[in-house]
Amino acid sequence: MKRLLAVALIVAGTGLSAGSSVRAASPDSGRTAWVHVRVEEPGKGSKVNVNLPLQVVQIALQAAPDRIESEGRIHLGRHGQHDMDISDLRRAWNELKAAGDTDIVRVEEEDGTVTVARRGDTVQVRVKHDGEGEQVAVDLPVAVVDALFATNGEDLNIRGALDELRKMRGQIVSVNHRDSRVRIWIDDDSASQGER
Amino acid sequence: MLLKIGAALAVVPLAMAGVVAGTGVVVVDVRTSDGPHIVIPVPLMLAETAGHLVPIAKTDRAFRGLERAKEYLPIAEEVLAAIAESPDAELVRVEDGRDQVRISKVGDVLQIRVRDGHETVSVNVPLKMAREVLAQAHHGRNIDPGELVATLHSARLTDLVEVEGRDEHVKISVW
Repeated sequence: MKRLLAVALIVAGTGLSAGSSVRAASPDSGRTAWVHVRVEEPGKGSKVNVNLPLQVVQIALQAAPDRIESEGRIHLGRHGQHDMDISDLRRAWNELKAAGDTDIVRVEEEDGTVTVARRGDTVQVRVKHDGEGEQVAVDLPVAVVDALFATNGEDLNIRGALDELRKMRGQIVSVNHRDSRVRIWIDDDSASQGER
Repeated sequence: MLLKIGAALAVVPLAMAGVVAGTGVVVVDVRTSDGPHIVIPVPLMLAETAGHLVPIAKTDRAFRGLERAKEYLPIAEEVLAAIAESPDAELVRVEDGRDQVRISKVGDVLQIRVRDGHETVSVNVPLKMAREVLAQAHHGRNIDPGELVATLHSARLTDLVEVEGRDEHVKISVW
């Protein structure tokens, strides 16, 4: 459970997030935006609910580095054998974002698949591991991905991605595992239960 | 004549009681299932003065573990400030079987509720006090207990700590 929560928070924190219902916030809403994290392990009767004002999350993330570098590579697949250079991915992104809806990456392994695809204004990341009964759905607004790649070299611009993310509302991460579930979303209601 | 003397004598304790009530009282209330009910009122002014008399050097142990975290203290201060300004809400809830932990922001207080099978612990941390601790740590100062107690003046009518077990009940309140 701790591992799942940590993964979920990191994903949310780095902006690798967003769900099918992500939408732009009304710029004049003037309401406090809340980041919600739910981690559930029904088998163990465990639940973790976190509701934090987005502003608090943004301040806390000042402790995070401006850029994240993972040896210049994004790791795809289970054993890292399908890693991609960030610079290659950035180049591909720049070429593909103008092409409309299209599959950007598809990795097929024995026990699952990883796909990254452009669908409208979102970039959808789907990870499916049949053996572990795990499904990960991450929907990134195109603007967030743009900001993420708004640097040169082998870095990702996390701060810029977060700036874009603050304009979003809706589910940003959903992880369904055989015995656990993680959801992260942003909305204007501190007591929201999100989408089921 | 006696009436005048009696009135004059009564003025002193009444005035003292008024000052104490006006400046605040910390009340420690202990009940056990088979023992006496003990109530100890401590005037805040007295606690504050006593706190100031604690040798500052004796409190440096409190921050020893914070050395590595010091670079993050300014951010922690900002986080607390942002929480203080945010609307009231339940911030964290962890449920694990019969155990539960809840942290909520209610007014100027951070409410922490911990419940396990046999015991319930409620702690209300005045945000002002928490920010004072972080500020002192951030600026490399040792904790001044007197200054911490002084922050309780803004936490009047608050139950700071309440522990309810099978056989005992302890409550520390600020009146």
